[in-house]
Amino acid sequence: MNQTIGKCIHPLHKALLGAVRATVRCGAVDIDAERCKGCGLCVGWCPAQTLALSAEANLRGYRHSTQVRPRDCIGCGTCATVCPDGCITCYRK
Amino acid sequence: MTEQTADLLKGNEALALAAIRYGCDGYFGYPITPQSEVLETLMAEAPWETTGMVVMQAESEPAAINMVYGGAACGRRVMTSSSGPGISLKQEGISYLAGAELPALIVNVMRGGPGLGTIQPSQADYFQAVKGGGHGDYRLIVLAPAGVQDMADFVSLAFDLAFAYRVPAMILADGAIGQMMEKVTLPPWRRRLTDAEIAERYPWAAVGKPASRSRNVLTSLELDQAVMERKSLALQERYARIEAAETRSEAYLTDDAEMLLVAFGSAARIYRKTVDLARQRGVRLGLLRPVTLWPFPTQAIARLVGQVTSVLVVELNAGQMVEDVRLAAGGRVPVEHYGRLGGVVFSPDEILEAALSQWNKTNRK
Amino acid sequence: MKRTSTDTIRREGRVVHRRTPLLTDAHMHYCPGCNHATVHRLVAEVLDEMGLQADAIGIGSVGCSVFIYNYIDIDWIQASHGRAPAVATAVKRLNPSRLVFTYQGDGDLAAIGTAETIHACNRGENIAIIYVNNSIYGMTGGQMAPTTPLGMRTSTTPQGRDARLHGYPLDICRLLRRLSGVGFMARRRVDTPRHIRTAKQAIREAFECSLAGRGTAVVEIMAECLTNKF
Repeated sequence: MNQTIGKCIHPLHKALLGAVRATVRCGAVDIDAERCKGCGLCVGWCPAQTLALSAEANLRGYRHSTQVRPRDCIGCGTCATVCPDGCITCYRK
Repeated sequence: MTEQTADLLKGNEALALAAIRYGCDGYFGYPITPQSEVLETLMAEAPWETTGMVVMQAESEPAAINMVYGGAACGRRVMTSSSGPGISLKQEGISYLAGAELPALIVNVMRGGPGLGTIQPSQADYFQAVKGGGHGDYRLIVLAPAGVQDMADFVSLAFDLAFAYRVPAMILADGAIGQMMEKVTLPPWRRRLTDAEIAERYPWAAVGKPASRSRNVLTSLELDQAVMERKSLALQERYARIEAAETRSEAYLTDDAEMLLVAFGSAARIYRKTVDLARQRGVRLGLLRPVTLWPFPTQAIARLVGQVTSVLVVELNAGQMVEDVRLAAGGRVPVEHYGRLGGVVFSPDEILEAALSQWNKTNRK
Repeated sequence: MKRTSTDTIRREGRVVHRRTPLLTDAHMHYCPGCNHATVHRLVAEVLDEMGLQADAIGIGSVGCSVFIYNYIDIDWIQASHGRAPAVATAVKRLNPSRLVFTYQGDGDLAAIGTAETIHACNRGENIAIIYVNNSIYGMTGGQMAPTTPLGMRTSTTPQGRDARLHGYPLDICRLLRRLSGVGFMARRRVDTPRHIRTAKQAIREAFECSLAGRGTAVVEIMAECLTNKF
């Protein structure tokens, strides 16, 4: 699954990302873990690769999305844009 | 137009004009003989320019009944009309109306069937109208007009009952009543309800959700069987209230009757003459005309059964209402059926003959 | 630039994206990643951004999206299978100031409801039609729809759709675009962040079109059923 998700990331994103990540730290996300169904769309689309699916399941039995590298978040809102269930709030400074 | 006018009108025309005067919000129809004059009259009257009533010729009967469903879901007084084949196509929508507890008026100007059948008058859609027609446990309030005046008067009665109980109502007429011309006094003008009045009177209607209330959802769907059973039982309880309060029938010379005729709609009208003819021959015949076919006047018939020796049910079909009359009679007296099919309408003399022959048979015993 | 803590960002930063209050708290029944949920969210966001909560009347259809009325906080009417455009026609004509839109799948709109769809568009009813086309019947278990591409395997075309047996895929929008009553038509996808944003823009334009009385607005969303794969 991670392999499939990896393919979603455009090489250009990765290149830009390095530059952004080195200088700025400006984003944060809140993820409603109980609402999340673990589809992985946000994980795959996050240009900063800050998200991953949790090891533990939520109450509905899904491995939910969680931010594993919060320091890398750029607050672009892509995760919230692709989230089908509207679980993500995204902030940027 | 003046407030009260006596016009010479077809039943279909009277129905259309009465709908405009009642303050009906919308009519959605599709042509079919013998009821096309309803749509034609409404289009000629162009009520959208006067009262604001919407009149639409739909692309099919299923579309028409679903337009009615949409209009009813907004708390509007909306109606459609058709004849047997078209009413069959509308059954799905009628079942949805019943399931979503929506008031609406459906008019069936019956013709002979089954299938494409004939365009001549018939009463063969009795079962379809009073026993269901569509799927699921539901009832329609069914009114049977016996003349053109009834066609004009039943529009308001049907709408008032439908909105009082939030169930769809049907006017079950036939080709004879739809097509014949009589002098008729049209009902008085009533204005259409405003948007604000609808929102206030019908808090369930889907008219746009203001911040002051939670959203309104008009649906017949419920996947939880326990909830669905509760909903269905509540509907049945409502039907019981309708049966208790809204059953209507009309008696003609039944006080001293020894034999009872039961007939509805156009047949009931023809039979008044038969009663008179029989009484000239010394047989005290009486006539009971169910005005509401559902709820059925079981009590009224049961009361009369105690005083007569036999009952003859005359219908323009192969014997449908006779089953309900037999249930009401409870086996106490013989209940016979006399019917003509395929669009043939009997004469009073023909019925007199049938009644007298049954009378002689019963009294020989 | 000085590095800031995430709490400070939450406190002092602006909200880039937040769940719209027009989505109810109900947990959507859709499979993980379902495009329906995405489109629901977009519809709710557009209604919210356009300030239409009090003015919108949604017409639900039959299919996977049958429970849309549980998820978007506006007044809803649940139509029978395929008849949503007829229901919407009457609702709009009786409430001309309201935004009236249907939400239908391809089984509903392009199969059983073809007649209602074509005639509503042909009359130029001032309604919006949100048409989510995943090319199969999702709710009933992935059967072939008129929209199923040739060769695609479904539960009723286990060998793949064969034109000799099942005919050709129906591109309903190609039919509809010939009708004079259609005021706006767009075909969008929701498979990438960029496509999702353009789909949202199309939904907004469709709503604007029908509110302005420019005729029927149709947005076809090309979707994918992630569950029923054969």
